Amino acid sequence: MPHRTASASWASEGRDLVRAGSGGLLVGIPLLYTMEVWWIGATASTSHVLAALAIAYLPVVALNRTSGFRTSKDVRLSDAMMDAVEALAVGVLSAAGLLVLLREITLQTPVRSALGKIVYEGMPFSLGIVLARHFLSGDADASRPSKETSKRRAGSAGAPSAALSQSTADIGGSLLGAVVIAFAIAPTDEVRAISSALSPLRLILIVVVSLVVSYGIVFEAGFGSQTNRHEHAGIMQSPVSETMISYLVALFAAWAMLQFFDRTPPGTPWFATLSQVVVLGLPAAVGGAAGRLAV
Amino acid sequence: MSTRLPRSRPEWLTFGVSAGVVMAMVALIAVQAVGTFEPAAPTADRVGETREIGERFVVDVEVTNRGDEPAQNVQVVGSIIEDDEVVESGDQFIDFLAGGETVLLSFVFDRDPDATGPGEDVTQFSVTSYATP
Repeated sequence: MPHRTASASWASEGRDLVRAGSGGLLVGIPLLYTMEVWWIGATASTSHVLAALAIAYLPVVALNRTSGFRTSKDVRLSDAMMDAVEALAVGVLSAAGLLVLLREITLQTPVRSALGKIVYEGMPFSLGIVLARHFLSGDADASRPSKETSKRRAGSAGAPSAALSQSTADIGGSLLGAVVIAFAIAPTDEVRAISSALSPLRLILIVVVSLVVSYGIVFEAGFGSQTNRHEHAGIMQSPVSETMISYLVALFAAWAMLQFFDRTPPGTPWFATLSQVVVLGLPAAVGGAAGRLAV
Repeated sequence: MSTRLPRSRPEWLTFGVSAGVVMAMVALIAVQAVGTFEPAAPTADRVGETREIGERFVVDVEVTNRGDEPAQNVQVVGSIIEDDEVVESGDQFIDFLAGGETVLLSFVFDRDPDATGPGEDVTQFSVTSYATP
């Protein structure tokens, strides 16, 4: 029977959880910026919230049997059921963390409202988690480059034209993904409502979270083209520089979309504009990461 | 894609923590279901001192839903009354106010709401309407 070493088990589990969180973000983040969902969660009766949690469990179990967030396929119902519990937990924790980050849950929020918001926002996250492998499938363990691969890569960085082409494709992928995910969010009042309540420190936190999430989706979640990404040449060849440049592209896309929808007309204070760009930059960064994996 | 191996220790740990999180969520929600639920009761109360901005006066008002049920489209009216007549007023809408939630509003007046003169100005803030979802 095949077996894993202890360190490999921990590393594999870590990648599975990052993949789960990444898949959850891809599906869940648009609804995170929908105030009607906040209200539905806050107004729902406790019986409805409990029922929502129970109902969400069923499709999550079913999807775990065909997709899931782990690299191995769940063939046993017991595994699917246990992974579904994990998907629900990661979903509600992700949603709770982001709701706190965006100040939709504060210390002043009544517990009942907070629970409703977390459950209703956590449901799409959980569905995204169990669809993670379907979105951008790949084998995390196989996709992790070996030392030999890294050496080979270092020795053959590629011709300048190929590097430029790859970098252009990465930037294009980031831009396209950012627009696909954030375009529907840009014209909504939620961006302004969220950004107006954020302090400079909170904005910095959102920037950090955006960068970490973008890095995690592309370089740690073990999605399909992770090996290719590690082997990329060009100005975006290192994970850190690629993440930074892609985030700048996502911010530019966010700013352009806000301009397109006239959400920051002339005369808008620069900090208000910056706040909106950073708030919209979070879903744009998630979309940009997915876009880079798709190219 | 490989066939699922027996659960490793990290996977069991993840499952244990996840089960704890889900059970805690269910328990917290269940606790909220216990007890009586008062209908929505939004109230408006003036807080803090009047602030002067240019030639206008800003008064902060806290609107709190003292009930358990949520209220929607909460209308809050602020008025300065002199000699039993409203001489200046403003109103605001709050889209949504959950049970126990507080929202801070600011009213801006041309007249000094704290001024006292022959007519004995009085400033009033009140919730005039709301909907129950």
